[in-house]
Amino acid sequence: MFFRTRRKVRPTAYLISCAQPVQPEGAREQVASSSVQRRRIVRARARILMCLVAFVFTFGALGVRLAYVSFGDVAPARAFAAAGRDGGPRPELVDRNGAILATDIPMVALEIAGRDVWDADETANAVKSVLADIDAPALAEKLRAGRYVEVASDLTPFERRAIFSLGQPGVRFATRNKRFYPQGDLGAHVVGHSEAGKGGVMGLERYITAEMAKATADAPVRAAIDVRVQQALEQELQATMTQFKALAAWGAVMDVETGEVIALASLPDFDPNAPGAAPPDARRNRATYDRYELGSAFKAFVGASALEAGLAREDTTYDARKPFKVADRTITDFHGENRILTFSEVIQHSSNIGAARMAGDLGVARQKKYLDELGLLDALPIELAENRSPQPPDKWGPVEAATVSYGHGISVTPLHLLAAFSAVVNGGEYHTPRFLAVDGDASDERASNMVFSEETSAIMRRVLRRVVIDGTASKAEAQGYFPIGKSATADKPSAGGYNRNARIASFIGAAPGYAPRYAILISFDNPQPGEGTYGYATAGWNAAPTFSRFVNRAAPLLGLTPVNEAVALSAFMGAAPYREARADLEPSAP
Amino acid sequence: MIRITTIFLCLLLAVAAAGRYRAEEEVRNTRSDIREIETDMVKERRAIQMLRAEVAYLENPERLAKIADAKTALRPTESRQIMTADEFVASFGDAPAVSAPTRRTPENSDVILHALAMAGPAALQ
Repeated sequence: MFFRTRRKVRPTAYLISCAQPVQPEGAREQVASSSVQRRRIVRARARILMCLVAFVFTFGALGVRLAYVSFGDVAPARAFAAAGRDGGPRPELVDRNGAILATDIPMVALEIAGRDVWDADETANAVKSVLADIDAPALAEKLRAGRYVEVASDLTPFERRAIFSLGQPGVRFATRNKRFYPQGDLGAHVVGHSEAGKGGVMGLERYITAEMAKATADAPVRAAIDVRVQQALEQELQATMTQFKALAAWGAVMDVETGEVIALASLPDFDPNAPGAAPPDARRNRATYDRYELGSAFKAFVGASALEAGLAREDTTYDARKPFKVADRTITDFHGENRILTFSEVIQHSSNIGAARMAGDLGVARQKKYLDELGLLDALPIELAENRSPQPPDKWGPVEAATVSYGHGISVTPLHLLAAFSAVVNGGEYHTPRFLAVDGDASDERASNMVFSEETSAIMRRVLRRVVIDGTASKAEAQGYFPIGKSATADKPSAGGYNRNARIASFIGAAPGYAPRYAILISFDNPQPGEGTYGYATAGWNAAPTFSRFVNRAAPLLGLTPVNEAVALSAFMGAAPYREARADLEPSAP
Repeated sequence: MIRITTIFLCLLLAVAAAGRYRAEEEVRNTRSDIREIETDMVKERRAIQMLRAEVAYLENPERLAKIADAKTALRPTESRQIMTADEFVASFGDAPAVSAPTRRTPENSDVILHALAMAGPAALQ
């Protein structure tokens, strides 16, 4: 139609343009007719133009869209796919074997929008029929005020169904992530806990929150602790704590090769699922935060330092017949042998006099140097925020050097002591304790340095073995593992001196003694004499037997195989370096 | 000629529009499928997470120890229960278990042989 019209008007248009001096009959009608034709032409052209514009616009739009679809950004689809992968915003915390210590679990929260509620009292009473512990009048009041109320944050599936079936307007369900600690109070001070809106506020939970930018929610954070060993440690500590009516107890197990803390307990403890239910005292990590004068365990350090400095040998003698005077201080022994003691006997019988004489030989500067290299003068750079700097003497003169040699006048955290002791028995290498497992690239920017020689360490292992065989800690023996160690009973400081009736009893040791793999600390705060202790409450009667029970129990879990006397003796007396001896003797270590 | 071209372009436009519509529809359906799958994945992942947490709770060593104390006579392993084959021979004489061939690695074989010996000769068959 459009094309036909166009053809017809062409000759007519020609006629219109033709000049006629005299208009023939009917010319007026012709002119009128041509005027109509002209208008039609103009209209037709306009239509053509419109169609053309419409075509161009449509094709142009399609072309642009096609180009956008073909070459445009496909991020929205990817973003959507990624958004679906939200298993929880915080990474899981697992133990060294993969047992979950902390994880996010989805919980359903009940919320009610006050503005959408028809009858506040009816809604409140209906909700109370399912959730008996809510305060219905208070809820009704809030709803009447048009407020948006979160009634419960952790509904069970049954409660959710029941509330949904009430059919109340304004009721909404929201999914939230809640941090759950399936191991309960096991390893609570290492795991820590979190608070809504704040994230982790203690322990490794706090570390995870602080390091969130580096962590991905998909990859779990692997702690160094082993929940099986942790449970054995806590149970043995608790049993002794109850038996000897101690105020508190703490203990730790450290891998002397890597510095990994395999277990760390501080009793009383708390359940991270309900941290507020425990008193603040129970949430305090005594093993990493509290400082104590840990007593005779320091004799191992002064002994090793004297050996290393070439000032003592295994058979060097020290006069312990009479109290030793240093300036205005007189140093005595708790159970005086009142005779000349060999180097080994000084540590074996825990002679303060002998240790003070060793410190005198060593001198203040060298004593400080070795204690510094053993990490006993600075805060530990560990993952837990709950740690403190040691408290060395303000003025470090000959008297202080003498008292520090048997662990008085210097306060350190129990973990400081354990890390330093590890360096004495492991061939002389100091490792900073670590609470995250050593895997792959996580190793190791931490400090580790050689403090003592292999020979010094070998002598100290023999000496510390004699402490167990024929010294102050015979109850620490564990058949087949030949443990080594040192007992330490320190009076607690009180106003103006020390309280003779309040003490910290500790045993620090290692197993297997002939080629140590794990250093172990057991401590009790003010244990009382108990049945069969003949009135004593010293470490040899409480901490040492606890150590023995723990080693017997934990060694199979740790893959330690008992050996016979001949094997152990040859390792104790052998000249083979510690690491070679351990590699030969501990093939089944995990 | 112009008419044919125009008709051809119109047809092309119609085909392109239809193709485009179909492609859009397919994308929409695929996106919908992806959304469903993603939603299912999130649900499954949450369910798995709940189950893992539940398993961790059930395997809590403290809980297991309490149950073991209450229901069984099991006690933690003691060092005297673990010995090498030589020690076993020295302690108990030539038990058939010790002379049996072992397919285990040398490090573990002694302990495993001992455990098998305690279970009786039938366990070695």
